[in-house]
Amino acid sequence: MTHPWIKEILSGDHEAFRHIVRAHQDRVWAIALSVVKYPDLAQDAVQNAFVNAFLKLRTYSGSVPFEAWLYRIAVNAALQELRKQPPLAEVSAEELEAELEEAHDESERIRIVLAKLKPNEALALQLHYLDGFSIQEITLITGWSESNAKVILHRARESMRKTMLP
Amino acid sequence: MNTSEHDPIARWMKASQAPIPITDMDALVMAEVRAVARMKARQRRYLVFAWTSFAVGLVTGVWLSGPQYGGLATSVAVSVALVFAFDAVWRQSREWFSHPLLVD
Repeated sequence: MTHPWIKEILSGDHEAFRHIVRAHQDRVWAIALSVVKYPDLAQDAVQNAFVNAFLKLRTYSGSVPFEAWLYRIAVNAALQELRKQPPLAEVSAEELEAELEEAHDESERIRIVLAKLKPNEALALQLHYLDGFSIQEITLITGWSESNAKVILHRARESMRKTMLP
Repeated sequence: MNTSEHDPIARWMKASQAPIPITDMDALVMAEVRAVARMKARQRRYLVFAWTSFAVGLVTGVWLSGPQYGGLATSVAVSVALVFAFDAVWRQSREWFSHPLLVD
């Protein structure tokens, strides 16, 4: 139900953009968080993503699903936010093991593992398993080639399995 | 889609899901969007007025200097001067008042 709003926004009703924000904010947030890892950075990325989408709305041609178009903007905004930050220090296997032992439950363990994954691997898992996108849709959203998307997803699964099932 | 419930990765990913922790995200985003829309509208108005100044300058220049040699140069000079004058007035007026033209 996104398309009717686009028409209204482009005809000058900027407030109609709120409907797009409400409909997609949870997924845009999850995508941003999977890439940047920290909530405050994710918030900046989400805001930038929606503002960029608002500014580029006139260029949306409808040749790809609106969601894919919007989530691609979200991925780019998150990557841009990530580039502003100093590179994260590499976590050793022992440090990760210690952190996982301190976790109270499985969901906390999962969140720790996801936070330690490479941004593209965490993004691939998010898009495939939580947002339910196919490999073809992931290529539209991320700009990766099909074979690259498969490799990243495979590595992400392996990393997660290895850490969760020692 | 191979995201079946039997796949441990699918189960783990579902368990990792957490709601967005910011309750008024849409209000925050809309405040940014409104600010950007206002800025864009101001830019558009600026361009319209700048080009209008240039056109008025060009016509006035031709009218003042006539069709003789150097008329075009005078016209362009008057146009550029008018655009600069417009720009100065535009900036100054933004500092002096919140002119209704400049505020949505």
